[in-house]
Parts: sequence; structure tokens; C-alpha cells
Amino acid sequence: MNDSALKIAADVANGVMSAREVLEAHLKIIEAKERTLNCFTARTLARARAEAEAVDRARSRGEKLPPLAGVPYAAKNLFDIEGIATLCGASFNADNPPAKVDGFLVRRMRGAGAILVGATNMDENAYGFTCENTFYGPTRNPHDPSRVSGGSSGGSASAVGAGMVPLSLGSDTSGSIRVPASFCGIFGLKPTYGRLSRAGSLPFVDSLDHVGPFARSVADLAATYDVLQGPDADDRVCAQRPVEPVGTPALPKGVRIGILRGWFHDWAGTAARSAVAQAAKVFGQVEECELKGAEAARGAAFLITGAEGGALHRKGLQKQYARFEPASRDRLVAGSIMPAAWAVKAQQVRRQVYEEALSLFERFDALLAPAAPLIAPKIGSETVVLNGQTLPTRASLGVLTQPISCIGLPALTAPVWPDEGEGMCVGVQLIAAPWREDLCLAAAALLEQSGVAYAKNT
Amino acid sequence: MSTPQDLETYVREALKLQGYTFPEPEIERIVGQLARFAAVAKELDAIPVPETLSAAPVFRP
Repeated sequence: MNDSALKIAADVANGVMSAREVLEAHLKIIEAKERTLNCFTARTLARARAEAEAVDRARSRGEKLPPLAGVPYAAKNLFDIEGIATLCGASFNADNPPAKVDGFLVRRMRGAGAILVGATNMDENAYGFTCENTFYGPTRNPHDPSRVSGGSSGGSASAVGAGMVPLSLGSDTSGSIRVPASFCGIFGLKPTYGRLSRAGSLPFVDSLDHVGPFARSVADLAATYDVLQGPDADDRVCAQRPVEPVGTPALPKGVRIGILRGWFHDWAGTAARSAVAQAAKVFGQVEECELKGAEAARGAAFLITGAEGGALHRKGLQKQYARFEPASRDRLVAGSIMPAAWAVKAQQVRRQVYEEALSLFERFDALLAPAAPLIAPKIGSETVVLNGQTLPTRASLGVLTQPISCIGLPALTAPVWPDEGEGMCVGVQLIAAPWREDLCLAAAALLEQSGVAYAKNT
Repeated sequence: MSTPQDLETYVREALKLQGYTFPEPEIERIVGQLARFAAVAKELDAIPVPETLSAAPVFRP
């Protein structure tokens, strides 16, 4: 069953299927695939059935159903879900009491009638790009289970890629929505920093943390994004902006698309370059451009992540180091003892690159770049070769996403399947000026309509 | 921190200051990680920025 979220919602609203029937069909798929893929750390079956029955009762009473009524979805296990402990991928968080209330985005999904089927696996503390979690196991790629799903929101991305659910929620500090969307062959949106409330989710790097949705189509992604929008006083960086619904995104005529070269070309492998070339053809008249300071932005993100993430977890690392993820705990400690001057300089560089990016948007409405440097690596790969250099896999797969999240721009991964990709996906990023998620979605819709970007059935 | 020895000394003293106690192999790994941060910090340090440039995170509403 790979029906879109919007088709499911329409079918439920029109009585073609009940929400309970939709749910049970998806639970069967989860049951069949979960042993191989390991997407979930908890399944919320009783809640899901209760939510589905509530939707069906509302329909039988003749009530107008909300926009995602009856649509199953999953949430990364850093979002609070009432009744279960919020793991954030960490074994030590399993000792915590269950969350008393849902996080903001989960409440939004519930209000929209969506049916929560479970919490999904992730890299511990959202610090990694592979979703190879030592304690909860690796989440595997739906298109080739010998490969990683990408991280840190790997469980959410793989579940959507595998057709277990049509929608899911993730977070993106340095690429944790866009990289797994690229590897799992689906759409993923990292909105502008501050657009969506992070209240009721465990933080990692406060000045870089974003949250957003995954979907198998642009229309589903847009509908979910619209449901999630809105100011929230409980997240102090959440913008006090009105909801700006994107509805059915369509690219305005005469839109100017720039292809990011320089850093974004140099660090892209053959398949990633091919994906960008395919996408560029769809846009027709495109111009090459460069984001000056992209390398510095990536470096700044690397340092800020270390400093803020290390500071956040310093006390935990002091008390129970052995319980932290072996693949990232040494990096967290190093971040926690980093000289403050390094982090301050990183913030200044970040501001400078942000100004550079704004000047690009005087010439272009949206920018095109690869979302990942290569296809999903094999599980257990310690190193990857990028730009002729052998680098640690977990820390390096976000080389093309980090410069963008560092400066908070909205960016969307659209899945492209180049011939050079060995049957795997390499996504492209569609990047816009702050608060212009509508342009990211509209550009992705054009790629989808042209047949270049699509989610492949497994 | 101009030499690997400086870096290692810094790490050992900073770990003490922060109240961390680790076995030797872990300390070596942490030194390796800080060396990666240091290499990036050195590159950023070479970028001139105006003294008045804000270090605040972006897009604070």
C-alpha cells in the first residue's frame, strides 16, 4: 500500500475506507518489513487504534474531518509521545519516565486527524548521519537493506521509503532530514530555522536544531507542513509569524534557479552530480553560482555542533560515559572542552556566510545542489572517499547539507535516481531565502511533475 | 595549541578541570577528536571578520 496521505485522507472522508482499515493495512506492512529494516523503537498500537476509531466515529456523526484524518504516521523518537519515554536514540533515556504530554508537532498531527503508529529509530542524540545505533541497532535502507538509511532521522525516512507510513516527522541539525531523505528516496523538508516549534522534543544544538516532515510526494509534504506551522511560545526561537499555507505549490513563471557550484560540486560524487544535472534540465534556463564561504559555514556548523552538543551533554558524559554511543561520545567530550573562542568565531563566520547567501537571493529565487555526496554507504562502512579524501563516514555525509542548516535557510530534498546510482537514490536540495518554503516546495513539485523526482515503491 | 603535544596537554588539563576521568585509550580518542575541531578552527580563524560582526545565532525572532 503506497497510497498518498492525501488520497488516504480523501478515501477516509468519502467512506471508501475506514481509518481503522487504513491503519490495519499499514500495520501489516510494518509487521512484514520491520524485522529487516528496524525503523521503530516503539509502536503505539493501542493509541493508533483509538485514534483511528475516533476518526471513524467522527465521520459517522457527519463531522467534517481535518486534513490528515486517518493518515498513519510515525515520529522520530526525540519527539515527546504521551505514555512512552523519549529516547532520543540513547539507551540511558530508556530509564526516564514516560512523557506526560505529546510534543508540539505530535499535537499538531493529532489535531489534523493523523494516526500515530510509533516512535522511530535515530542516531543517538541526533549526532550522526547513518542511523547506526549501537544500542537499538541500525535502521536499514528500504531499497537495499545492506545499506544505511541515513541519519539521524533514519527510522522516520526508512519507514516512509518502505511504505510503512506515508508521513513521518524528523529533525535536522546538520542534515538529519535531508540526508536520510536522499538515501531512502523520499521527500524531506527542513524549514527555515524558527519556522516550526521544537517544543516537546529533546534538543541537540539549540542554535541549529530544526524539525520537519518526510513524505512520498510534494503534495503530501506540503499538506503536512501546513498542518505543522504556527507560532508557539513554548519554543523561544519559534517565529511569531502567522501560518503561511503553501497549499498546492506551483512555481511562478520566470523563476530564477541557480545551481550551486564550488563546494557543492567539488564534494559531490558522480551520481550526485548526475542528479543535479537531471534536475537542472527540468528548470531550463539555469545559471551557475557559488555560495562564498560554504566551506567555512560547514566548518562553523561542525564547531558549533561540537560546542553546543558537548555542553548540553557534559554532565551526562561525566556521570555515565560508558552508556553513551561509542561512535560519538568522544566527539561530544571534545566539543565540551573546546576553547570558547573557537565557537564564538564560528558564530561570526556563520553570520558572514548568511549575509553572502542573502546576496545570492537577489539574483535567484531558489538554489539547486546535491543533498548528499553519494548514494547510501553499506552498513558498517567506517570511511567514505569524498573529493579524493578518505573521511569518517558518520561525520562526513552531511558535507553538503551543513552549510545550509548553519545559516538556517529552508531546504527540501527531492529524490532523484541517476543511472550512476546503482539503483539507489541521490537527492537534490532545493534551497530558498528565509521563510520561502513555498519556493522549495514549488520547485520540487516541478521536478516531480517532470518525472525526475519521485519516491520509488519497494 | 601549535603542536600535537600542546593539544594533548590541553585535553588532559581541560578534562581534569571539567571533572572527567577516562581511561587512557579514551583520552587518546578525545585528543583525536579535538584535533579535528582544532584543524577546522584554524581555518576559520584565518577568515577576517569585522570586529562588530554579531556572534548571535541567525534568525532570532
